[in-house]
Amino acid sequence: MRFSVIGTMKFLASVNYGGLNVKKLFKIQKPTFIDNNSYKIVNQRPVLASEHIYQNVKFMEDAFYHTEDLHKKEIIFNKKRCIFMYLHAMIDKKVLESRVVKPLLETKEGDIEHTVSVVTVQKVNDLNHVKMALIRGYSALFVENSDTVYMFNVPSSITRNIEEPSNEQVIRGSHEGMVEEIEKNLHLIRKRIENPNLVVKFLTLGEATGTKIAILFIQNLTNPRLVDQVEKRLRAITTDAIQTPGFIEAYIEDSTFSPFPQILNTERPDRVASMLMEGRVALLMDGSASALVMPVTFFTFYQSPDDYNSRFYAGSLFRLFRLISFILAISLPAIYIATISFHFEVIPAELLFTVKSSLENVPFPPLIEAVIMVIILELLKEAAVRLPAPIAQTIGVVGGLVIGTAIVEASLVSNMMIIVIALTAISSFIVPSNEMSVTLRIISFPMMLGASILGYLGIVFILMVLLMHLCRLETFGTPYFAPFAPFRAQDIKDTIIRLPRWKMNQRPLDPHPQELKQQSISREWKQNGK
Amino acid sequence: MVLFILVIVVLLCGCWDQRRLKHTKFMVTIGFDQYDEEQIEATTAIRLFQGIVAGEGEAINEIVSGRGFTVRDTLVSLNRKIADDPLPMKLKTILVSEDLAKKNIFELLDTFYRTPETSLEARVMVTKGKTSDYINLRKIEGTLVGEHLADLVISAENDSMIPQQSAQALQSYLYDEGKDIVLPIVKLEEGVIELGGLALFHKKKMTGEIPSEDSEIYMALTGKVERDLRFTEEVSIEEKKEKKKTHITIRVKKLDRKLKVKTNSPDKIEVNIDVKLKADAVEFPPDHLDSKEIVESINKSLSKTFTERAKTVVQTLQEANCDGFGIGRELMAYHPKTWEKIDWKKTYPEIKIKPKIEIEVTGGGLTY
Amino acid sequence: MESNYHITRAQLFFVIVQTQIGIGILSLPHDLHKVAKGDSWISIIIAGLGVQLSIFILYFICKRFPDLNFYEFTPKIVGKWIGGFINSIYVIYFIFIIGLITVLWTSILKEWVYYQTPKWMFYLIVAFILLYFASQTLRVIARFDMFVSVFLVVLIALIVYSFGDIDFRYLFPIGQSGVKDIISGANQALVAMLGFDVLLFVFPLVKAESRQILKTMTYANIFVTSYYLFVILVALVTFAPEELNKIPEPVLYMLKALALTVIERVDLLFLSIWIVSVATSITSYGYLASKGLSYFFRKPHNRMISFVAVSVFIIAFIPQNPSHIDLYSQIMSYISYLYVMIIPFTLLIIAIIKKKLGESSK
Repeated sequence: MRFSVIGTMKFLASVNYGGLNVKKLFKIQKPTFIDNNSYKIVNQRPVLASEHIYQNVKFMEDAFYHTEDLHKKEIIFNKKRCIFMYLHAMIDKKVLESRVVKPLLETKEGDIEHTVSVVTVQKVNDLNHVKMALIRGYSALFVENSDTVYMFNVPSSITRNIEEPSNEQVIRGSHEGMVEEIEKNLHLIRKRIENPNLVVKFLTLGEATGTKIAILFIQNLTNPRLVDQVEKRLRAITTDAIQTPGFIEAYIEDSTFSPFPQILNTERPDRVASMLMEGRVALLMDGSASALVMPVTFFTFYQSPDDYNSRFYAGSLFRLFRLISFILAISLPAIYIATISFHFEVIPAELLFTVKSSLENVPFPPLIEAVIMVIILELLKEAAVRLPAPIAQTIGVVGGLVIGTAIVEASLVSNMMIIVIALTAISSFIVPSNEMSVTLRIISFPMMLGASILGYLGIVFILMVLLMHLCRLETFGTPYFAPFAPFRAQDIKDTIIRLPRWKMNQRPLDPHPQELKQQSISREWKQNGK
Repeated sequence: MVLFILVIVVLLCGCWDQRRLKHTKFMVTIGFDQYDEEQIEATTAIRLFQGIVAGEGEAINEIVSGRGFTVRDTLVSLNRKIADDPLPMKLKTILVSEDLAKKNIFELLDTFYRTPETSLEARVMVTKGKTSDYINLRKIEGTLVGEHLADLVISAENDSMIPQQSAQALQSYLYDEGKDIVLPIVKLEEGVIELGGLALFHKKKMTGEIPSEDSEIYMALTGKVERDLRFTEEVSIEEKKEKKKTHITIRVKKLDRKLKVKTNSPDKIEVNIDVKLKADAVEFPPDHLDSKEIVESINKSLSKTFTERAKTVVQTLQEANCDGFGIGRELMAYHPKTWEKIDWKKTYPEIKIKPKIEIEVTGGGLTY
Repeated sequence: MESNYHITRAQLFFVIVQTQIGIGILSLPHDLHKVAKGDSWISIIIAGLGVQLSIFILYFICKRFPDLNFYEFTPKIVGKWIGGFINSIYVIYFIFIIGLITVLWTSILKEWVYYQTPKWMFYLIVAFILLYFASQTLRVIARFDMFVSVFLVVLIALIVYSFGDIDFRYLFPIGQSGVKDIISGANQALVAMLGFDVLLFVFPLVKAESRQILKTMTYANIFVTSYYLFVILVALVTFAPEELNKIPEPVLYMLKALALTVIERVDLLFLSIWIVSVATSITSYGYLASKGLSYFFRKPHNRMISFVAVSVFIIAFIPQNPSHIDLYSQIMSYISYLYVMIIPFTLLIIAIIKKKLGESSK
């Protein structure tokens, strides 16, 4: 708590008391930068600019600790000396030169605001404000004998091209993905929802990084309490740095210790747009291409834009397969372990002899076999992520052929186990969301453990615990396992199967939107017999 | 902290009921013979796998025998001779030699019903001669003997030559006063195993048998037929006042059987078994099945012959005191007062059972 | 964002059904048959009617206090001390019921599948189920129950598939056992159908009008009665009478002999699914017991559940052999009448009299 008497006095003095210039009554000190030895940028008191241009400039240089990418340029305008200050890295030099400096140099007299052709021009007195603006790509103009500072917005933006995100590819559908700059992302989303009701609220998080966060929602559709909740949780974050949306996710989600992700992470603008239209809230972060969408249910992670772009048979089939893959991914190794350890009477006789013969020479119990295989698989996967593309293909060969076949021939792992683990791995990759895929692998471990201790009872027990956990998990007030947990029959049409679009007359209930009806009879032409 | 310790303790204790699949051996067939006055001998075929690499190598049988006072005792003695545990979980057939069957078959089967780890789908059959002779054959035409026997019996069930009797089904019959079991007999001649008719039981003892030619008649009388029941029979046909004798094979398409018990008093119990068959001819060299005269004469002749044969079968059953049709159960259900007054063991051989079989040949297959 | 405590009518239906269908279903045909023989199915119907009567009694008393659950309105009817006493004996009753379920469950599992696993392992599992499941709010429990009710259908499908040699003549002649035995059989059956007393405690939490709650309870009763009736009938026609007297768990026995193409010992599958039904029954009773304790100790009910779990764990060790277990069962079945019929009925009468006295004194 730095209570500065001088600062308050300066502040009081800067207020315009109905024309009376109070400043002249007090002796104002010159703007001095006080180093408080903290790298954080919160709680900054306003500092008044002085009329002496060099004092202002000195303040700025001190405030930036004489960083060498802070540049100055001096020009003469209105017969007064004017100094431009800007951070070289943050501004677009061409715009500065052509739009700001050139008009000022050509029209040597006049009003600065009306000479310059940049859109955003601000006049401020507070040097701290100027300091923060310089960081954001503004350029400041100090005028001799004036304590008003002009600021021009001339940011440069460097972003990559718009290309499809590599983890969320679709067969049919838009191949656009979001990029790191928040303005461009907003453009992509607004393009898809051309509606003035789409509201954007900006926040700054991160006491040292000053990251810009945008909250998007659709006014009059999204539940206002949801938006308030999101905002409240965001404002409660006090931390130095927000590097990725993953940090934000951890701060605002309901249960961090649940294995299930409760906020959707996506890089596709079309997904964000459709989620917004269902009444959900999206978060964008400057510097990251992912958007966070909340609230989501378990089944949201199993939806992919592909489902909606195809006909409903294909969409429903894919959905079913994905859900089956969920069950397989968590329980297949466990069921296999339980069956061959405890309950091999379940296997029919002919198959049993095959299984038995494959296990004949393996020294380890099935649980150890499974763990070995899973570890090898995870190692291969991590390695493949790090390697550059050409070498990554070699890993596929090495992993698949060599390790798989060689391990069986060395009798370390039985070939049935390889089949089981391979199927499990494939099933866990089917999930459209990367986080859910990790969740599945995490869950399969307790299942395997339960299976090896108690056989089928163990599996059933762990499954029950899992189900109970899913039933009780709620995100932002929405039950996670809807529409199965509180059973909502009308929402089933978009979870396990995907009914034709013209049947979905109502929005899903879970984000509690203000308006449920989203369409009426859209195929009248068919009913009336053309 | 306590939870953590608890978890560790649980994990370390391990898994009590885990059985390693490697250390088990599965018995495919087991056969029981009388060894001497007190002991029985069990012979079993265990399926093994020869070959180091999974997927190659061939399956062989290991034959082991053991002795004991009861079946469990023999299993224990088998255990002493076999490395790893022999498990009766995947038994396909249980063979009982005729002598043991004549003494008490249920004694042998009791342990299979009590323990949860046995397979109650196993087929039970009676053998002529010692069961060890059958099992020692090891392989028949490339198939292991246990499976061969099982497949033999199952295909015979599908052809309705023998009743469907798994160990599970037997148990109901053993406990029911109003029914008796009927099991298939197998015989071994010159190294070939063949089905040899049906063994009739009264309660727990084998008391008679029906030869294999008549087993289909018995099946027809019970009314429980699957597909593909075939009869070959001699017929005398009449065409244009000419009588000829020839053979015909028919395949039954539909079988309706009605069993009616009529009783006014405990002394007079009459049972009528009416069977109506609709069949196709699958072999009839004289042809001309489109002639109504011929078809009718076939029907008449066949009906007469079958009814005669049925009477013989019924007589055999009554002599063996085997209530193979569940007549006792009918009495219990529908005539309880009569049931209470009689002693079924004594009454059954005396009652009048009138079988009647009617055949209607409805087609000749693809040609007339 | 609705309140955390309310459940809908449909959820009530499934909670009641799942609490009722639990451990009893496996041994019911055998126990009934020993008494009522071929007419066991009539006993079930009579038991269903008895349950309906009991439901009416419970309904009428709950209707008088639509916003209070049983623990809250007993003191209002009979005063603080007697009310507290009644509440406490209910809590003890529930704890013993869970103990009985645990013991029975363990013995069946040990006999059919887990021969060597020590008993305490199963008790530990029950304790864990109590700790985690019964400490949830009713809403979460209701969601869970609703989801797993699908498996009830799977159980029926398995049983239907295993129809082997059935003989309807085992049922005849109808009425052979005589009225006395049939009634006595109904007594046995009632024990397996316990679970509807949950209504006393969740009545205020159901988001519906009182009459609709009565309808829902009736539907639940019909469902459970029909379910048990089906199982009994199947067991009666598959097994000969003498046989049924010898097989303690006929349903499992039937499934044991079944061999499908892909899996053989189907009874293992059945047992695995059935574990879930037992867990839901345990959860419901655990929830009720811990709620009761929470009124005594003035703490939220999820803290109290550890007390219940430990008590159950200890109680489960008391019966040492099958005859003890039988005795335990018998005792519980007799005192259940007290809890589901007699006490509520008495309370109802007292409440009516009090009201009439109150009115007449005005």
